Amino acid sequence: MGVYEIWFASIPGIGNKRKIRLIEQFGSAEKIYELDRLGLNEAKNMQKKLLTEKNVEAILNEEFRTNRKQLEIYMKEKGIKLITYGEDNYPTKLKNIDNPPYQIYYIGDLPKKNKKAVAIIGARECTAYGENMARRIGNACGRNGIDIISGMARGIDGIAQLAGIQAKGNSYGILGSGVDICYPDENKGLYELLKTNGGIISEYIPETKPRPNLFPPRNRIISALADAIVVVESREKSGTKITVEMALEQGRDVYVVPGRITDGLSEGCNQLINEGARVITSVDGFISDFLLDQRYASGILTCKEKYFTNKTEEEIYQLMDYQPKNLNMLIDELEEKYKMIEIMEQIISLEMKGYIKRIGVNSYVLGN
Amino acid sequence: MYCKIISGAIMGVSVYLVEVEVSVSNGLPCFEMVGYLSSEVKEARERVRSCIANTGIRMPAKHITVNISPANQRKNGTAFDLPIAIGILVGLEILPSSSFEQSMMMGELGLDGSIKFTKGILPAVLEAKKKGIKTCYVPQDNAREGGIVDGIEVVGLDHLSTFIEYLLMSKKERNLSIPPTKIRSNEIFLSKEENIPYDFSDVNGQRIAKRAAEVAAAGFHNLLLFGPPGTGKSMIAKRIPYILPDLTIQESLEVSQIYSVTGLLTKEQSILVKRPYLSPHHTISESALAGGGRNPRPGIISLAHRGILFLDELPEFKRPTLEILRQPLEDKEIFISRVNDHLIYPANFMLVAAMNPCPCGFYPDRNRCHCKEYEIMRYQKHVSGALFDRIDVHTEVENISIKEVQRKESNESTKTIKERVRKAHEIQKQRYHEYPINTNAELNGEMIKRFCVLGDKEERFLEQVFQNLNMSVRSYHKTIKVARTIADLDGKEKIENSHLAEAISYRKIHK
Repeated sequence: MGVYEIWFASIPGIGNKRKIRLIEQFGSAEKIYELDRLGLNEAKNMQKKLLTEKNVEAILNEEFRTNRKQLEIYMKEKGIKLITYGEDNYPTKLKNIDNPPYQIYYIGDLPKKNKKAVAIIGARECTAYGENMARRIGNACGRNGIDIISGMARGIDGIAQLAGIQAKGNSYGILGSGVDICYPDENKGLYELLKTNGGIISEYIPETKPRPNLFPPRNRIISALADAIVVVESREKSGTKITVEMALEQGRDVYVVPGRITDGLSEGCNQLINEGARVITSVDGFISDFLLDQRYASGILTCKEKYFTNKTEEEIYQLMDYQPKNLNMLIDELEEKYKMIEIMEQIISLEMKGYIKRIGVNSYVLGN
Repeated sequence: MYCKIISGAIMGVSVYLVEVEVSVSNGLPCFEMVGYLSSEVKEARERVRSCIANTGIRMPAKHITVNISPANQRKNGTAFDLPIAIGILVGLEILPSSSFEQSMMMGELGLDGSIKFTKGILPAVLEAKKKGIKTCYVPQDNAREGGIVDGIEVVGLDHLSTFIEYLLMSKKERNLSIPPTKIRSNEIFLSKEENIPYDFSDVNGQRIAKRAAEVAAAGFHNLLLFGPPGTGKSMIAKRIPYILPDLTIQESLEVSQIYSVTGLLTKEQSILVKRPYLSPHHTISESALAGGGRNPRPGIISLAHRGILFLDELPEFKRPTLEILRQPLEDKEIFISRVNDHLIYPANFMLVAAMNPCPCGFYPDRNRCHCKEYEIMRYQKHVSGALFDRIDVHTEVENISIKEVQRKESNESTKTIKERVRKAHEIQKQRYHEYPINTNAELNGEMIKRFCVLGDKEERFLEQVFQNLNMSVRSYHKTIKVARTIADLDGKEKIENSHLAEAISYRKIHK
C-alpha cells in the first residue's frame, strides 16, 4: 500500500470496473499518476473509452493529489490498510463476483483463504427467538472455526458476530461507511473486538459517513466473502432479502431459520424456504451439513441437560417460549396448582440459572 | 385613639401571628397603611373604607394609620380586612377595645360588609391555640375548618354589622346569638360514608399489577406501571388511594393545612378525610409541580402530601420537571427559595407513574412493535435513571385476553385488600414507634440493617441473585425494603426467600 494506490483508489467518479481496466492497461497506480494530459487523452480516445473528460480532470487535480498524502498519514494513525484488486492477498472469493470492488480498506485482518465462512444476517429489530438463534449459530460457528461475516448492524448481525467472537472464533464486519466510523454507535464494543478477532472491512474511503444508498452495495461483499449465508429473521421486505438475492447470483448456499407463520419477523424466512432455501432444523445439523463433516455432528451444542430443583420449576419452564410470556399468563395457567408467590420464587430461580431471561419488567422468554 | 388586634399571616403552609395596629388621631384626613405590605393588602384600604360606609357608619375626617407588625416581614393576602375595620371602629370609639380581648381575627371584606372565605384559617387557628389565644373570629365559610381545632373557641361571622352587634353584647348573649362552631374530628371520620367510587373488583386479570399496587401501598413505596396503551394503567392507579389506610387525624390536619393556605378547602369540608389523589397533565410547569412563584405557594407535590401523585405517560413530562421530583422523593419535603421567602413545603407523597415501554407501546411483543432498539432506549431515557432508582416497585400491565375481560366471577374487592394493607401499616407503625418514620419506604441504610435482618439462608440467596442477575448495589437496599413490606403483608416477622423473590421481580427494567 503506497500513497499512489491510496490516491488512485479514492479518485471520485471512477467506478470499480474502470479502475480495474485502467490498471490492466497501464500496469500500476504510480504509472497512471505520472501520465500527463497527453497520455491521458490518448486513453480517453481509445476505442474502449477508458476515460471520460471528467475523469481526466479528476486524475490531474493537483489539490486532490496533495490531499492524499494526509489521507495516508491518517490511515497509518488509525491502522487502516488498503488492498487493491490486482494484489495477491486480494480475497479470491471477492474476485470472482460480478462487480468486485477495486479497493478494500480494512482494519485488523482479511478473511483467511483456507477458512470457511458463513454470513449470518437478519433483522435489526429482532425477537427474543431471533436473538437466541443468532447467538446459538454464532456460537457454533465460533467453536467450529468457521468465520462469521456480517454487517455489524444492530440485531441479528451484531449478536451473531459477538457470539462467534465470544466462542473464540473470528468475525469480519462489512460496513456501509468508512472503516474508521462505528455505525451503529451501540455496537462500539463489538467494533473494538472485531479489530483484534477478525477485521472491519469496507470499500468506502475512510471518513465516509453511513448513507442509506451505501448499504445495498456492501451487501454483495458480505455474501461474496461467505461460503453460505444464514438468514435468521427477516420481514417480507428488507435489506436481508437483498443480500439473499446477491448471494444467489454469486452462487452461495442460503440457509434459513424457520419461524412460526404468525410471526411477522419470520415471514421473510418462511417465504425463502418456500422458494427453495435450505432449512436449518438444528444448529448441529447445520454445522455438519455445512462442513460436510460428521465429526462435528453431535455433542457440541445439544441442549444442555437442565436441572430443576423441584417440580414447580420444571412445570414453569415447560410453559416458557421464545415469545415473551408475562407473569400474569403464567399465573393464570398455574393458579390452580401453585400460589402466586411460589411461582414468582421459581421464576427468579430459573432466571438465575439462565434457563429463562427477563425482557421488559415482568415478561420472560426462554434463555439459552 | 390606638388599638391593637391580633391576626394571622400565611408563610409557607403555616401561619404566624401579626399585630394589626390602628391609630386614629386628629390631623389631615388620610388613611395610611404601612408594614411591608403587598398590593392586595394595601387594597384593603378601599375595601375597608367602603365597607364601613356601607354598614351605615360615617367615617369622620381623621388621620388613620395602620401598621401590621412585624413590619420587616412581607405580608400577603386579604385576611387583614376584618381586623383593620374593627381597629378603625375602636379608634373611632364605636367599639370598646375590651370587647375582643385575647382573640384573633381574620377575614376578607366585601364592599357591602359581608365577610368572605379566606385562605389559611386552619393553620391560623392552630397557631393561635399554641400562643394561648382564647377566641378566633373567622368568616362563616371557614368556621367548619377552624372549628376542628380543640381547646379554642372559633366563631364564624358572615357580616360586619352582625360582628359589631356581637361585640357590643355581653358574654352570655354572645353565645346565644352566635354559638362557637365546634366540630368533632371523630365524628367526621366516623360519619364518612364508605364510598369507594373506584373498586379493584372492576379490574379483571392483571394480577401482578394489582399485587404490586398492594405491596406498594402497604409500604408506601413508589410504583411504576409499565404497559401498552389501554391496558388499565390509570385504572389501577385511580384505585390505589382507596386501599391505603384512612388518614389519621394528625395526618389529616397536616394535609388540610396545606389545602387551607391554598384556599382549596370547601366550606362544607372542614378537613380532608380522604387521601389526596392528584393527576396533573404532562404539560405541567416546573413551579406548578414543585410549588413556587414570586410569592411562593404549594405545588401539586405538596397537595399530594400523604396521598398519591399519579403521573401518567411519564416520558411525556419535560425532563427538568421530572428531575425536580428527585429531592422531594428523598427528603419528603421541598425547600423553595424565592426573592421574598425561603420556605419548606411538606411533600411526603406516594408516586405512582405509568408509561409505555416504547413509542408505540407494544414492546416486547415484536409482532406488533416495530420500534427500533435505539428508539426504545431513547424513549425510556426520557426518564433519568436517578428517578427510576427512587421508584421501589416496577411492574408490567399487559394486554389481557377477551376471556378475562368477559369473566363474570368477581375479583377481590378494594375492601379486602385495604384490610391487608391496613394491617401491614399497623405492624410498621408499631415497629417504628420510636423512630421518626412510619413506613418501610422511608427506611434508610442504617435502619435497614436494624429492622430488616436476613437469615443466613436468605443472605446467601440474595447474594446469588445479585451475582447472577447483574443487579446494582443500589437496588440491594430497595429489594430488602420491598421484601420487608411483603413480609409485613404476610404477617411474618422474618424476611423469607419467597418475600425476597417477589421483591426481586419488581425490580426495574434493564436498559
